[in-house]
Amino acid sequence: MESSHLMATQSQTITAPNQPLNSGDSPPVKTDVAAGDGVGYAQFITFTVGEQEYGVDIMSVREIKGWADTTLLPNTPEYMRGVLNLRGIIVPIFDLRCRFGLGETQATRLHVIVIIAVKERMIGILVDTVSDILTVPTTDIRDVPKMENLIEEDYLSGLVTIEDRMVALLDQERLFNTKVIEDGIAVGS
Amino acid sequence: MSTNDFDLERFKATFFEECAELLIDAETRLAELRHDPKNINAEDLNAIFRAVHSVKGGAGAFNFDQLINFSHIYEALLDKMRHEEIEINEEIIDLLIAANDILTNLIQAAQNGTNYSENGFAETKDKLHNLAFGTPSKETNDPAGAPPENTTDTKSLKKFSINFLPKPSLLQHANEPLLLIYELRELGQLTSTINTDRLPHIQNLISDEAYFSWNFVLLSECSLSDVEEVFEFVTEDCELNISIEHAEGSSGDTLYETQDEDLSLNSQPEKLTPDKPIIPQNKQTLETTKEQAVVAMQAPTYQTSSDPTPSAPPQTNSTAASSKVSSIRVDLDRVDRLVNMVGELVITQAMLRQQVDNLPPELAAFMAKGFEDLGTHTREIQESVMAVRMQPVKSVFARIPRLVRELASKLGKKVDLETSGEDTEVDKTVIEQLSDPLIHMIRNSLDHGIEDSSDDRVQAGKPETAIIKLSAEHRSGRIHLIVTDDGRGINRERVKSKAIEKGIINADDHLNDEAIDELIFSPGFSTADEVTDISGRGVGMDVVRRNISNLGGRITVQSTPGKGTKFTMSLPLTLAVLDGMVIAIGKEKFIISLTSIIESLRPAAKELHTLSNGADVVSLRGEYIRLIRLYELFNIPGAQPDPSKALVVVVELEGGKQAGILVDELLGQQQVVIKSLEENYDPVAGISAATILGNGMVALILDVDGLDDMARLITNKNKAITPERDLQDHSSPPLLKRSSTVPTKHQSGPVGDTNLNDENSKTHEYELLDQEKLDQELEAAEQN
Repeated sequence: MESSHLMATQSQTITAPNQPLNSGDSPPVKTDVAAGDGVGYAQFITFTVGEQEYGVDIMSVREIKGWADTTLLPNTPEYMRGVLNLRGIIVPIFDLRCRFGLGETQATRLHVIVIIAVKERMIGILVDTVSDILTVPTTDIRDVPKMENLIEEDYLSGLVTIEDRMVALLDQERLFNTKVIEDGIAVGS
Repeated sequence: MSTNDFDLERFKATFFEECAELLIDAETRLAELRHDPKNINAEDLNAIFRAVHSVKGGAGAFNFDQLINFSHIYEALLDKMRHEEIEINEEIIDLLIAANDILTNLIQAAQNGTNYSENGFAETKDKLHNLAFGTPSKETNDPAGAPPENTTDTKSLKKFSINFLPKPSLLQHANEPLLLIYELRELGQLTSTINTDRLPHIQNLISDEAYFSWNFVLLSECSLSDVEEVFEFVTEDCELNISIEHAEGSSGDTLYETQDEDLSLNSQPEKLTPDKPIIPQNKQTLETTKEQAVVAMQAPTYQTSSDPTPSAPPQTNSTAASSKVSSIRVDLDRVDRLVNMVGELVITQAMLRQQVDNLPPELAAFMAKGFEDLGTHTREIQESVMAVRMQPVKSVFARIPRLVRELASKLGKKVDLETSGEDTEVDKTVIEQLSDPLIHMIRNSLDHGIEDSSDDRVQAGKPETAIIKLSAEHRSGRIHLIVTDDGRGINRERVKSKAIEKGIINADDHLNDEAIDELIFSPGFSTADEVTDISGRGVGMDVVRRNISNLGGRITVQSTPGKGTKFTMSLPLTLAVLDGMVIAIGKEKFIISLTSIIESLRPAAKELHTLSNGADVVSLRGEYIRLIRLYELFNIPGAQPDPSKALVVVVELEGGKQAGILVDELLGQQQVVIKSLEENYDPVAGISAATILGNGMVALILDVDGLDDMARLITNKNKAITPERDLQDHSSPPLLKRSSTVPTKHQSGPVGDTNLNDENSKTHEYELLDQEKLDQELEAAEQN
């Protein structure tokens, strides 16, 4: 089910002139999940916001769909891009770029919403493109270095380096737990 | 039956669920009996008997000894009553009611895994025991297996010879012969002989066929009926012969054939009509209890519809009834999913319908016809699905007699409860929300409405016993619940002085009678001089009103001093759909619930005023109402700011006040499916829920009370603090709870939630102050 949604959107995203899926410089990593060497593997779906690549746990991804007009919610944070009707369920959409303080995304039909489950909730995150499915040994996941004035660090669960790319793994439970968001903003600003 | 712990827990949960249903039914019937003890309906007694018996059966399966013991005695008394061995009088019925209460408590105790011991328990039990068996109960924990003697039986040892031949249906009905044998063994010394003659070769073995039969010889002091009782639930599913010989050796002359049991029951001379149980008592496991519960729940419907004359109801024989399953138990989640999907279907259908107009004419005509049919069908499906969720309010009403009984005795008042319209149906979601406000209203009537002593009543020329009437009815697509008492009515002088004392009104305010009556709904208002545990905890009728208005309902009061008080609660039939008005502001669309809209108008420029604190008001036929600029509260660009060029939708707020919401356009009326916003996000101030429009877009449903709060805060802020000051200034009290959503772009806690925590009651007070300010302003404006 997830893969079929993924396929549908891939075909759509591939038409994007700037950032084709699985572009030549970043071939998909084909790691054998079932490798019997006792090392644990984790799978992530990665997507880009601007230059930066982010990943979320593949098991939390419910659906990937193209951007559609949302209904704005009054008096909500800027990165809260309104709500969407997902087959009868009202899903809030968050702008990841805006969330990291990089300005609002000018969403077009080529932008992508990744619907993920965070605890019992379903949320959508607005990103530029979906790029990859990543399978990495858990031992390759690095801690996020502590830096000053970086909101991001609190909301990342780790970093992975694939060839020369760095993928930041999102801790969506912290990132979009709306109570934490509020606190996070208060601290970060 | 599974030995698996998990399964057992699940069965237990089902058992308790069913117990609750059975007891509600029993209680309803007892209330009926109580009402008219002279005219006992045999079916009522039978139904109560069955309910208690089912409880006992289930309790036996889970070894709830206390419960088994008590229900056994209770059941025995009921059995005597239905065989008319005991004269039925009010006293006995009161005892039964008490027994039912104890049974409820025992079940609760079993559920909590505790032992029940309360004053009056042993006493009631002894009374029951006396009546049922003629002797007081020995305080033992003996399970039903060793029941006390029937007074008519001698205590001598008897020898029962039992011939038991199960039919395949016995196994198919999930009965287990082994359990029956165990039960027999409890009665006395049992010798069993199994007959395996019919057992075929293994190749021909059919797994749910019954091949065995048994011959038992039981040596016991118990009575024939005790032995019969073991097989009570399987009489339909077996061939059974029981004969008694006395242990001394003389061969018994009683030959008992089960097939005749029904006849023997029916041939009770005095009962002509429905004394036979509607359902056969042919099964013993939980499976049966379930079916019984369902059928038992339906039974009252059939009863109320039948005439008082004993015109024979279409009573089929029990075997036929058993083969027809007339209702099933369905998980609510499944129904919800269905409701959800049908909602989607309706939306999709509407969406496609809109597209038809874009088709070339020759195609459009053809398609339009098809869509018309599709539309009819989807509407029908929607209605049918909604009907599945409809339930009679009986389940809520059933709790009331007990409440009234307990409260009346606690307060030392004589009160009769009359109910009507129990069969009025309303959506399950509403039923769940109905109970608390209703209980609160009943308590209020009992505590405050009814005179403190019957002397007061007699002096006022009223009968000693007060009457509280509770009724439900459908009226113009809503359900009305009406609580009427014939008590002293609202003491307006007292209400007024209390309101002045609490600072709710000013001493020199002139209020008409209705306005004074309305004061009882004011936050923090409670007239009880002493805080009782019944009502008067200071969280009185304002909470009731708030809860009801959260459900899209209203509560009103009418009172005549000395004659009584009438509360009318009006609620939507369902919380799943709502009749709404679609409005437009800028490019945004919102929904306002039709029930809260009073009118809409375009005010003339001279009808618009601005108060000194910056609040806008509109004069409406001499009344001033606050204008809520939604585009301002929600930061919507492109809206029409001039009310004389836009529209004002006048809405009714909590507490009967009015406000005008400024909108650009009314787009039309529409029934919308209510979707929760909080399921995946936080509550948003001024928004109560969301829905999906015909074009698939989400539209927000406005919470008019929330909007009013927001508007009031903004005006207060403008007045109270300069713009440069920190918006989060906590020195301005009303900001504590509700403001953070307004001036900042952050979310805060739920708005308008109904929890009764301390913080919230504080908010009520603050609100009150604001209201006062506003009222002063409005008054000032009026004088200008």
